[in-house]
Amino acid sequence: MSRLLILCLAVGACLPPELPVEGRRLAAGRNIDRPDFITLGGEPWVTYIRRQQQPTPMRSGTYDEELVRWKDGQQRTVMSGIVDRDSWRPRVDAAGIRYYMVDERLSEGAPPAGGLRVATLARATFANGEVLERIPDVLSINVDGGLRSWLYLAAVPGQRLPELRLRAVRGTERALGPSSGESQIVGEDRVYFVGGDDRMLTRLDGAEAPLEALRPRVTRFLLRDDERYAALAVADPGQIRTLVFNLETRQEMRLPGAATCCWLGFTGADFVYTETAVAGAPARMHSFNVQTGADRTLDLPAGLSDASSILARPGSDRSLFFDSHGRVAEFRQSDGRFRLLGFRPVGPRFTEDGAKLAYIDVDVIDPDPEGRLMLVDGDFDSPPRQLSPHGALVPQGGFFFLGRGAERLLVYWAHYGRNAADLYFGDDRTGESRVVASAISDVSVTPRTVFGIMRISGQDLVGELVNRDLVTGEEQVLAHRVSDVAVAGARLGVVIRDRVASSRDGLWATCFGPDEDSRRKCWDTPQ
Amino acid sequence: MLGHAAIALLLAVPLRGQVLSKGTRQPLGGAAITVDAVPAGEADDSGRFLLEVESGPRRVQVQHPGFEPLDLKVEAGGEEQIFRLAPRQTGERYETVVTPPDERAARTTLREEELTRVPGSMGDPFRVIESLPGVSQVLWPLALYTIRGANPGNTGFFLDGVRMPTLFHFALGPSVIHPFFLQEINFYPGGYPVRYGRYVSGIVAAKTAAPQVDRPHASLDVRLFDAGGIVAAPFNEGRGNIAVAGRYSYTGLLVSALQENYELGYWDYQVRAEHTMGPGRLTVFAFGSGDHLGRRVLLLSQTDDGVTDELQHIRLQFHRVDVRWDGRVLGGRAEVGMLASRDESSTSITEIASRPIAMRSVTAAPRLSYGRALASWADLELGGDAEFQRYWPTSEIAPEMRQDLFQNRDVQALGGYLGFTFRAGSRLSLSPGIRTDVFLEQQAWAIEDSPRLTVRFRPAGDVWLKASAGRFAQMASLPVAVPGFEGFGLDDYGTQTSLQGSFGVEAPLARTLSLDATAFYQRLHLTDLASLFLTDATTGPLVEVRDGRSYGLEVMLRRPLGQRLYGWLAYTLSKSERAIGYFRQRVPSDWDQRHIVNLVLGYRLRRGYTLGSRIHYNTGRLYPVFDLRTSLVDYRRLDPFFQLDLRVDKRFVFDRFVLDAYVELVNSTLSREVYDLKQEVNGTLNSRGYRIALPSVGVHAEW
Repeated sequence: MSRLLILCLAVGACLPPELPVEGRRLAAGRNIDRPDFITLGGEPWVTYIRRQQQPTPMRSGTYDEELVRWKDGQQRTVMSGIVDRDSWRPRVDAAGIRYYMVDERLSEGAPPAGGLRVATLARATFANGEVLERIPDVLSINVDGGLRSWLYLAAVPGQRLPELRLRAVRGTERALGPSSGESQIVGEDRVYFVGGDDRMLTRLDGAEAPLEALRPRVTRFLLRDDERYAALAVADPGQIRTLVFNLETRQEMRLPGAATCCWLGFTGADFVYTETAVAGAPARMHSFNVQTGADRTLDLPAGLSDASSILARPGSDRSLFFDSHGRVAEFRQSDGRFRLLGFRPVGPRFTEDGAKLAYIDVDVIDPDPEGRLMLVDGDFDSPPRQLSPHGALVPQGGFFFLGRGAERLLVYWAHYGRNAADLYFGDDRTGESRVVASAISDVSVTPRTVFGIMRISGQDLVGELVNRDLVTGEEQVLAHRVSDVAVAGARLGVVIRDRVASSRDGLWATCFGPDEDSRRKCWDTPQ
Repeated sequence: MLGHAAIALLLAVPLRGQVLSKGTRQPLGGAAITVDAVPAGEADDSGRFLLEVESGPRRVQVQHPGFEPLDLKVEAGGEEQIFRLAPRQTGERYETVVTPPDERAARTTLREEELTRVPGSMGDPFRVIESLPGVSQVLWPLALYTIRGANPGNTGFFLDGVRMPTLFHFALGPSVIHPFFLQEINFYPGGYPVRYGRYVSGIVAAKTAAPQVDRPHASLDVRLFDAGGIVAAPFNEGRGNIAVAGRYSYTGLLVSALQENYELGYWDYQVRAEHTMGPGRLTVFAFGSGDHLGRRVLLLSQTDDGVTDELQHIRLQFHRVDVRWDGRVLGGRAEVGMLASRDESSTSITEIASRPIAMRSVTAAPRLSYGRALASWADLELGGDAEFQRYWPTSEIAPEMRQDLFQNRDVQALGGYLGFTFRAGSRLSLSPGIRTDVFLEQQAWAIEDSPRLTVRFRPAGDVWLKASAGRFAQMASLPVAVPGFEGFGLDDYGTQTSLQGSFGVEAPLARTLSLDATAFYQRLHLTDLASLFLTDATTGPLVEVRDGRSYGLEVMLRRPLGQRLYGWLAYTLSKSERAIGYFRQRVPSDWDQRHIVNLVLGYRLRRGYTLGSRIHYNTGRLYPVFDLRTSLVDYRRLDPFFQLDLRVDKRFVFDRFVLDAYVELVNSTLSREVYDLKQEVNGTLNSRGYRIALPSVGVHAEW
């Protein structure tokens, strides 16, 4: 052995041996992704997808959805040839039935009726992959309803507009006609949709009920929760306007104001919207009482072109009004006065006590907004200060507050250039930050632990699965070259991906816990 | 009564003359003089001769190797005649540059036209190395080379024994030394001699030409994108000489005219003076270089709705002054020298640094070397060198977040070496040597021993077998050498090391064709670029330590310069691997080019014309392809690259000066160099690349 070692050193030919993965491989391959845990028959299983066909410019890629049983690695394919398009991601209804889109093709006929990308919808049970039914030429689905029915759009040969259909889970179907706009399913089987060439807002009050034509030329609608009123954007001849429509009486109420901009929604009896500022007139917010027709207005300060969103400051009578260009003004309920603020916060969040506001000051717009994480006192009496390190970019939505009061942390992630993001704990009181995990992918955070994929390789985009104790500084590396992970208690489904194909590629099962005993139990005990 | 001989002697008159090269006026010592078809004598070192001949018109013939013979009728007894011999411009040249095999290390030597007339090099001597075996050009036309699978930053460049921070301007990549300042380039792809150190890959060592000392000389060359010149003159009655060279690029004007948002420019200078001193020579050599690239970008203003424009830039500058004495001491040859340098680099281009960074460094580097023959069968070489460097980086990075590269720091490197060459007859030579380097940076230090051995054995005829092995060490380096951005990370990364071994054969295949084939194996421990996706030097460690290996075969078929058709065919088959990640998976390195072929040919026509062509082919490197759909990375080979370069040279020889002109078209087939691959959401594999053809027209005058 020693002679071999000496020989190796002499010729420099021997690199260190490969190290094993701690755990058990459940499925082999480099094309595995999106692991997740489910329980079937009281036993833990891991679901994952196995990519099959690469996409082409003419056709999306496909993948299979598979299951593997935790305890013995028994594998099962739930569905094959699923079309890999974001808008066609599999759905699950309230009864746990899976909706898959398979067999992508172009619809028959000439455009616009033909040539659309359609697929066959396959409804299947998850446990054994039994296909309950297949429906061809489906464009999209909506399973937001209850247990009884669901909506889908289908291409019909020779018909310019796709057809909206309400299908009951037991297999009966009701064709609702050509669809030309939004559709919404409410409750179990009440449907509102815009249909036909005249863009008629139509209501179906139950699967067996007749269709009710409500209002033509509707381009957009918003229902009040009680379904008594709806705000409509209508394109009547010569004008586009917003009105409130009484769904019971079909009475139309024209909204005050000339240039309706932003719908802020129904609040009790009021429909709240804003009117865009025009030359000589400020932007104005309206609260229109749909029952009485009374209109209360609030003039917005010069500098705001409208109001597209409002953020209330906790524990005070103040709120922030944002216009559609990102400008912001503070409004004090007590005296009805506005104060225009000199910055443009993106994704702002108040601390739970309203003492501080954190937001992103955008530096980069494309492809996604990101910038510096800023902190400002809730009173806005002092200028904002930067919390994220100089040069680091925080994505929009890339921060949140964790904990309350003195224990509160501002957790955010930021990256430099094209580097992977680092995870920071910030202190909104002192303005200090510290890196708690570098080059992260998916991690979960508590005030004293970080768990997830970190130390991502800048080139291969795989990292280490780490459980780090932030108090003691200790960390446990659970797996290396991890591209994805699923967690269920002490069980981990880890996707390992080497740079080039290897015997380690695939989905691995491993356990973690404070001691050997807990790790051993994780292999056997259902959780 | 006097005999004929006595009469002839009584009638003899002196015939004085000087033989010069036409155009360059270089004295042709040793030229053979024939008077009336009878050999009469030879010219001395200054080209002069004095003969006693019968008075009256005489037929004088003058001959010198490599020149057309001259046949004149002259009147003997008159004033000194000048005989100008025109260099032979066609056919086989009498003179062949003979490079004796180096017993201390395997190397490739390039001289004369091989330096300046190789197609594709745009007349730049250093760029010729990209056509040699073992060298991969990473991204043409950038002068970025990897040698035997290491990183570009692992190759050392030396000029007259002085380490250079970089050899090339980044704009179009001409070298930072005026082309006609160079005499010879030695390329060591591995196993280099012990007098060089602190690099784990190959060495490119150039020698400057000693200016001619008989009288002042000058040359001027003008190319499409730059102009330069060199002036050399003797002083103190020929005991000393001085040469001044410089170059200035007007590429910026061209670039700005084509693309108004860009600025580009470079310059360099060299001053070299030497004078006899005691038993040797004292040489002062000062040189420097500057590069500038500017890019005007539009920025969103944070305070209002408008935009502002900003000039982002890269600036690189270095200055070197080297003073040395070399001469005979104690029966051997000694050299003692001291180098002082100042480097400055800065950038505000956001792709390179998210925040503006600048680096300034100074270096003092003394050195001492001595070599002598101990016996007819043994030579000795020993010496030592040191570098004392101080770095002052400037950046907006918060002090607590600065990595070592952006800290003020002192770096020292001290080296000593001892080498022998032993010969056993004319068939075997062994050159063992050892070099030890000590690296110190901040509070870290490391000692690296670098033993080396070269063996040459001649089994029969002119066939030589050669083998070398050695260990080499280097401080951590960026993947690409940038002046000032070196000497860092000793504590973080340790040193880079390589174990190199090679075995080869040199054999004549025919009278004018030689074969050189070498197989190599290297074990590497390098600071690799952490990711090809990440180039921002300010955002964290750019490099990571990786083990690796490379091995392959290099073949060179060469027809030497003396032939009418000259050139070489070089083929490299290589594999470069790295052990990455925790599992130390052995994968192709980012520089892995399996096949590289270069066919370089020059053909001399009549009337001073030379045609040249270079055919280059390389297979693509393995490249990470980011899949926008899956956010995963897979690896694919970049497209192979084929390049055809064409060149025509014409030499005009006048009595007192020579004019060379050339037209060159580099990448005449407009082949596309692909540098990036990306998998789009719809499955399209998008390759980013460019098609550039570089036309070049140059005129070089020398008198």
